[in-house]
Amino acid sequence: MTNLEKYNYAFTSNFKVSEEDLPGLKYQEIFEWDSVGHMDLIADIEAAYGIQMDTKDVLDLSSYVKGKDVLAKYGVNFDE
Amino acid sequence: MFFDRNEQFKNNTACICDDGSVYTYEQLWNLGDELIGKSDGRKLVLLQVSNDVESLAAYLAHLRAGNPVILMSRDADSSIVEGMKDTYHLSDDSAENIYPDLALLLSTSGSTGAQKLVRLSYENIQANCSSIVEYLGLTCDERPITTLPMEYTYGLSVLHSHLAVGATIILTNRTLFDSEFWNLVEKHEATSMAGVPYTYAMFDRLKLTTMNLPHLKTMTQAGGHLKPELQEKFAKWAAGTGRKFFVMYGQTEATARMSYIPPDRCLDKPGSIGIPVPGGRMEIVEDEIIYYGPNVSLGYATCREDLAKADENKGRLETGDMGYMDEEGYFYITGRKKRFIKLQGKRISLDQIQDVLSQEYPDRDIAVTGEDDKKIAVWIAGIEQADFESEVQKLFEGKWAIRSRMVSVKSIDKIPRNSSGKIIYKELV
Repeated sequence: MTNLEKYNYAFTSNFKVSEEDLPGLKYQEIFEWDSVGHMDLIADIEAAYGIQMDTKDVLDLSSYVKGKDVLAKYGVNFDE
Repeated sequence: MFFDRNEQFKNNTACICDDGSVYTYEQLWNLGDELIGKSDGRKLVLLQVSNDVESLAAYLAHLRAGNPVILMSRDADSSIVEGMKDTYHLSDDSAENIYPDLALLLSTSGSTGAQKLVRLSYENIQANCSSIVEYLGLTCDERPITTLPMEYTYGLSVLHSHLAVGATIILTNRTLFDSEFWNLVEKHEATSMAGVPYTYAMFDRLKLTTMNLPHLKTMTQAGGHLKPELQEKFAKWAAGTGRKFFVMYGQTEATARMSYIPPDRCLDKPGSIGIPVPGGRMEIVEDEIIYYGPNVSLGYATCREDLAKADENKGRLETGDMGYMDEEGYFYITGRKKRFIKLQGKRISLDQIQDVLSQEYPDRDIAVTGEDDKKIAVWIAGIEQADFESEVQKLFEGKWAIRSRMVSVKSIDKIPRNSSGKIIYKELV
């Protein structure tokens, strides 16, 4: 899987949403993405890229779009 | 009582809200009186709440006015709220057949839709509040921040016990993964936080023990068994940084809390639920933990008529938790008498789910198994798994607000049963 596919899969598998819903997805705006869902999402993203995220970044990953910027800091390149 | 107008506290700050607005106790009382309006006699009230000043003010005003309150979440599904209104005849304005000491009605199961309520008296809530104030050593200098829903007995007990001493509550609905929550902690100098095991998993995920939180002095935990490694981690952190970490045990049936581990014993008593709260007593009868105290609820209600009932428990509660006591008088839980699990903070009856599913699929033999914070397994005899999984998951989401990924459907040839027809759950693995 490409980095983008891994990223998308973390959302679609955890929140039962389709790829076209992803760009507008925000924390707490759908039932599945509550604090419990957030724990699972972060765990899956960390496992997918083999990273450990800092507290600030765990909090900043509050939307699908923002999450890409957060992960860029960990060297995740979505063009690959 | 903690909800009465107490002149001593009238100028203390009662709460600080999300938007930065601040209310003194006197303003909180006045707001509550305004919100509930003029009383034309005692009546049953259903109040949908969240962690905001209007909820708190109205709730306290109803207690002052003598109105028994059913507390529900503001986010509760409207069909569940309507069901509750029907069951308890909310349209009936007379209090003629309501027990005089009935103060509060709380659900034991969060949002699972069960309409069974625990009946609590004024004495129950005041007694538990006083013992919490005593063992936590609360003073008016405390500033807890809300981390639990107000309609949940543990969250509510945090509010009660701090109002009783004239402390300041930082009221917010923000979650731990919202950076604004941590801004509020810092800005308003929160002194304590409460959490269920899942909250502690989140604290751990957020590396709370490495955060710079100079005002945070006390952490409390209840609502289920905390993993031993997390108990140890937070206990060590607290001991090493001059903080207090309280591991506690309680049930809605005992208003909220029944026992606690004094913080200086937290590291030597891993896995324990501690010693009884002041005013309470516990003993083991046939391996079950029995609690005695003035905070033991009056009983349950499942219909309007039950609200007339007097004190059925008479200060004695069979907790349904099996356990033992060590030589120093510390109690330990070894299992549940009935099949309940905790799923991400919610208390779920596996038997109830099994009954409902069996009604949904009358032609199928079904068994439901699960463990705390693990996927619930639905065993259905003689099916192809793929036929049912998404349908069953939808039922869980609709009926109990349990996420799809917490539910798996398993196909089995035959549900194992003993000679008397009882399901042998331990064979379902």
